[in-house]
Formats: sequence, C-alpha cells, structure tokens
Amino acid sequence: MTDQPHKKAKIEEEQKSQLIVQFYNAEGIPVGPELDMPDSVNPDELEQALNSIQDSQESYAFYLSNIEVRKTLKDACKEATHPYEIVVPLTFHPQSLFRVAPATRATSCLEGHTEAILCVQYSPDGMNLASAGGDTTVRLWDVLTETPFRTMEGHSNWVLLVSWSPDGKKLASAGVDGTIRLWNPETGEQIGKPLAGHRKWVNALAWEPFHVNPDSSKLASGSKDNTIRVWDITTHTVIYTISGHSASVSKVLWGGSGYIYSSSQDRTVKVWDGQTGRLVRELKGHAHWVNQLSASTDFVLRTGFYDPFAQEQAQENQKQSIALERFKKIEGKGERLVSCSDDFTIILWTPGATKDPVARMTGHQQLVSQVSYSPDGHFVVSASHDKSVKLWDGFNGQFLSNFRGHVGAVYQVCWSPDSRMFATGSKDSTVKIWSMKKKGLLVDLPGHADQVYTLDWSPDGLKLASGGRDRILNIWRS
Amino acid sequence: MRKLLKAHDGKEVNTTDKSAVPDGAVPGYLLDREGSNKTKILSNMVKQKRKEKAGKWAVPIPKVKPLTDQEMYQVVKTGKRKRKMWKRMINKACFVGENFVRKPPKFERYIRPTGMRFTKAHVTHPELNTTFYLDIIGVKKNPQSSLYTSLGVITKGAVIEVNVADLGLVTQGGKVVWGKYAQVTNNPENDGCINAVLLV
Repeated sequence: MTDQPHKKAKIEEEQKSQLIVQFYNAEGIPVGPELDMPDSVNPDELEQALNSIQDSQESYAFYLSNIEVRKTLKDACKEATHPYEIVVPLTFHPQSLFRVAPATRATSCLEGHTEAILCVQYSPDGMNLASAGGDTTVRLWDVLTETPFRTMEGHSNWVLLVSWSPDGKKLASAGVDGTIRLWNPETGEQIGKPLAGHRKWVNALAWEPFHVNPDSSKLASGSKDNTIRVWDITTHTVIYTISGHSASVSKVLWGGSGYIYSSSQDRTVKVWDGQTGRLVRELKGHAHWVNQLSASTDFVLRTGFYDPFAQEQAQENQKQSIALERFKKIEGKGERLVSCSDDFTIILWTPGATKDPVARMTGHQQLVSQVSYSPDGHFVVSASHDKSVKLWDGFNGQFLSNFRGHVGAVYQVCWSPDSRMFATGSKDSTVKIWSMKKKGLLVDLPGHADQVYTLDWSPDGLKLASGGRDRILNIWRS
Repeated sequence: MRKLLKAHDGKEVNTTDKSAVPDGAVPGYLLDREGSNKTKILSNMVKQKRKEKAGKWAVPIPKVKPLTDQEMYQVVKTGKRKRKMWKRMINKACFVGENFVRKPPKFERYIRPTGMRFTKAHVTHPELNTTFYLDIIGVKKNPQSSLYTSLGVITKGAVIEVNVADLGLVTQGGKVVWGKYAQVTNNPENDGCINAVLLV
C-alpha cells in the first residue's frame, strides 16, 4: 500500500521524460510521422532520426519555435516553456556540408588608396578583388599574393560602388560624379565611354542574373536623382529609364525571376518588370526612408555558376544551366525580400505573390542600416545604428537572437558562404565575426584605425576583405 | 593712363578649382546623413529656442479672421432679476484640463459647455502624409486673444499641443519627443471634430 504512490510518481516521471516530436521544414510543412522520443535527445540524435526519415546524409540545426535546440530537447522545452503534453514542433534548417573557417588574423594591410575606401568586392569566383574610394580610383588587387595589381583612374569624384558582372569578366564602378564606368579587370582599361545620364550620385548597381543573360550585357543603376536606368553594356546606351520613385533610390536588385526590385527614400519598395520597366507592384509599409534591400537569392545570383561547394567548376557550355539550377534550388516557392528602414523596422515581403507584408520585424532602437539574407536563404541578419545586430528567421520573420558587442553604429554585415557565420563592420573600427551556433561573438578583429565602411567575404570562403576611413585594405584569413 | 591700364589688368579673383575632389569621402549610405554633426545640432537647438521665445511660428495658416465677441460667446442671464449681466457662455470648442473643477455659479464668469469640450484631435504629419488621432495636452496660443488662450478655446488657427508619444519621434540628440505643437485647420464648432497640422 505504502509504495503505490511512489510507483505512480515513478511512472509519471517516466511518462514525463517522453516527448512526441514532429519535424517541420523551414517553410512550415510537416516531414515524416510524429515520433516518440526521450527528452534527453540531443541534436545529433535528432539529425540521425531526420536523416533516416528523409533518406539523406545532411546536417541540420533544429529550432523549437524560435529557440535553437543546442544541448537536449529538455532544455529547449524548458527555455521555450513548451508543455510536455503537446506535440513538439521542431523546425529544421539544413546546414551546408561545406565549412568555412572563421578569419582570425590579418594577412596583409594593403596601402594604396589615398582617401577613405568606400567599397570592396570580390569577384563571383573569389579570384579577383576590387576596391574603390574617395581618391577617385578603382583598384584591383592580386588575391593570391595580396599585392596591388591595377589602378584604374577615370572618375572625377568619389567612387561609391564597384560591382563585378556575374560572369566575372567586367567590373562596373559608379560614383558621386553620376557616371558609371566599365573596366576590363585583365588589362585595367576602361571599356568604351562612361555611361553618363544620372544627374546625381549613383546609389546602387545591379547586373542581370547570369542564368538569364550569360553575357552580362545589362546593368541597372539607381541614383539620388530618383531614377533607375537600365543600360545596355555592349552599346553603352540606356535601354529605358524608370522614374517612378519620388525620392532618392537607395538600392536596386535584379531578381532571378525577371523582376527588378528597388527601394527608395520615398518610403516604398517597388517591383518592376525587368524587360519593359513596367511597374508590377508597389510595396508600402515603411514610415520612413527605406535604406537597404536583400533578397533570399542574393548569394546565388551574385555567384551565378560558381559553386563554392563543388569540387570541379562548370564547363563553359554548362554554366547557364548550372546557374539556373542553383537559383531554382534556393528560390523555393518564390523570392523573398527584406527591406530595412529609418523607422527602425524591417519588413519581409514576397514580391512575386502579394503586395502585403509577410512580417514586420521590430526591435531595433535606431535606424537599421543594412539587412542581409544568408546564402541558404533561411536567415536574415540586420545591422543597426543602435550598435546591435539581430538575427531573424528568413521565412516568417520571427526574432531569433541578438548580437551585442559593438560599441559604435554597425554599418555593414556580410555572410560567410556556408551560412554558419557572418561578419560585421562598425563605426568603432572593428570587424567582428559572429557564430550562428554559439549565437554570439566568435572572433573580434581589431586592426583598423578608423571607421570600417565596407567589408566582403569572398564567395570561396577563404578570405575576408575590409576597408574604411583609415585608407588601408585589410585581408583577413583563418 | 596708369588708371586705365590698371582697369584693364586682370583682377585678382579668388577662384575655386571646380575639378578638385572634396575631402572626407563617405560611403553612399552615409551621404544623406552627413548633416547631423554635433555643432549643427547645437545651433539648431539654439535657433529653436530663440524661435520659441519670440513666439513666432512658420504656421500653415498665418492669418485668421478676427472673431467678434458676439460670435465667441453669448450673454447669460443671471441674478434675481434675470438681467443680462456679466456671465458668458462660450460658443466655440474648448479644451478643458482633466483636473478642472467648476467654480460655484455665483463666481463662474465663463461657462464652457461640456458638449463643446474636446480631448482629442486628428493631427496630420505633413511629411509622412499620415493622420493620427492624438490627445490634446493644452492650448498653446489662440490668435484671437490671450484670454481665449487661457480659457482653452480652440478656433481655426489656434496652436495646440498634442501628445505624440505614439509616433516615436526623436530629437536630433536622440531623446523621445512626446509633446508637439499643431495648428488647427478647421472650424471645430461647425464640424464636431478638430483637424490639425503638426508643426515640424
């Protein structure tokens, strides 16, 4: 008689340690049956279970609502205050097999620019590096020896942007003088005459994606003079001009499904037909300037046919089909777009489907300077002038984590190609690398003497370049 | 002759080299934000204070039609003889503070009918092109007369203070603004509501 309650408690305890788990993929579709599991199960065991359901050999990260399962399912349930009686919905995000080692040291500090460096960008295959700055020059650097390679002069004022064509054979630069110049990276000579037309400085450049146009012959540019111009590079002429915005255009993206997305200080994001320049949709929702845009397909469109995970790179005749295949894989149900604004919020859109926002992400306490989709399209990271960096779910806009550590406004953020880390550059003169797994600081990279204006992670993941007001281009490696 | 020669000489004029590249390059995302340096914030603040002191406002409605006393209020009969004496009832919309208590009838000179009292106004932000329904904090200035200002009478052209805590406006120094002035643009006594434009 006396030990009966003990027994009951024991049984209850045993029952309590069992959970019913249902896996969901990132788009919210259930995968496999509901599984009965002990609550002491760890992510590795979950991974095995999921791999046996899906017949796959991949690694995954698991999330319960917005909390990552790191040690055991029990801890995650506790943290999420999820009751044991209800089925535990676990969302999984595939992790790429390819791993990037975090950059830990500066292998070289390249001098050359005589004014602040405003933009650096690696070519789509990571084998070339271009930088531009306030000294009106565009410079190319030899990536392997980390030495100066070419200096291209031509602009008459600060050069704000450099952009590699998706085929990697051309480099476009644009500046405060309103002209866009094209350069041959092999010889360092200008291709043809400058593309003149904008009355004020150019804020954004976007190339037509590789899988649509393998010759990289079309380029869109957005400017302070409220217009977007689409240029034909072969004839150096304007194909059409879009003047639908009523204030400065802050960012232009050329999506993979034929749309041009543009954000503007007139508080709107607009979707245009890339062929004709007709307005398709107007996305309203922000209450102040829209600063930046990012699409879930940013990384695949930037790299085109170049696959950092592949052992062998594509042959010349397969490049377009490979680029299309890579795009389709990331695109999923359609491109998603995030826009960040001076009203401290970020909005998630599905521009191909509706003009209504999917989610409005609030939490920043000052203007959001940049947002960026992870290369796999699963996460969004945002940098703000409130010194914080925040991580959001790329599908439903849920807040995931906060990264604090910078002591000045965070200007720029860029992802590593494996989506496991991202780097941020800040006004406080440091570059910091943050880990997705730790949800915290991985490496602190001091070394700049002044504000860091720009940084870029090479698509092959081996190096990170940063530049700023101290005129020195730093290259970081692991 | 020397004078003539001198007149034809080239003049020394300070010319700036237009092809020179300005210093202090900043990236595109900071180009529009250069203006907010500290000295500018300070001088703006000083200017703002001076403006406030002078009571001068660049307002959307700079001139208002003067209203006669007859339009403003009607005389109420008082006393044993029910003669028209000194009691007045205001015919315009009013803002009456939350903790206002009426005086005893014998001493009450101005009656502000409860039906004409307002606590909220539709305020339009001229730059955002959006309208908000905000609480009134007080009447800053009624252009008709200082008496009406103190009584809280709201007529067309009156400057009212509204609670903008919900808009999330921030000063250049980073502090949250909660009270802001707005000018009334309609005749509230005719329309039954107050429409105003925020003064920014």
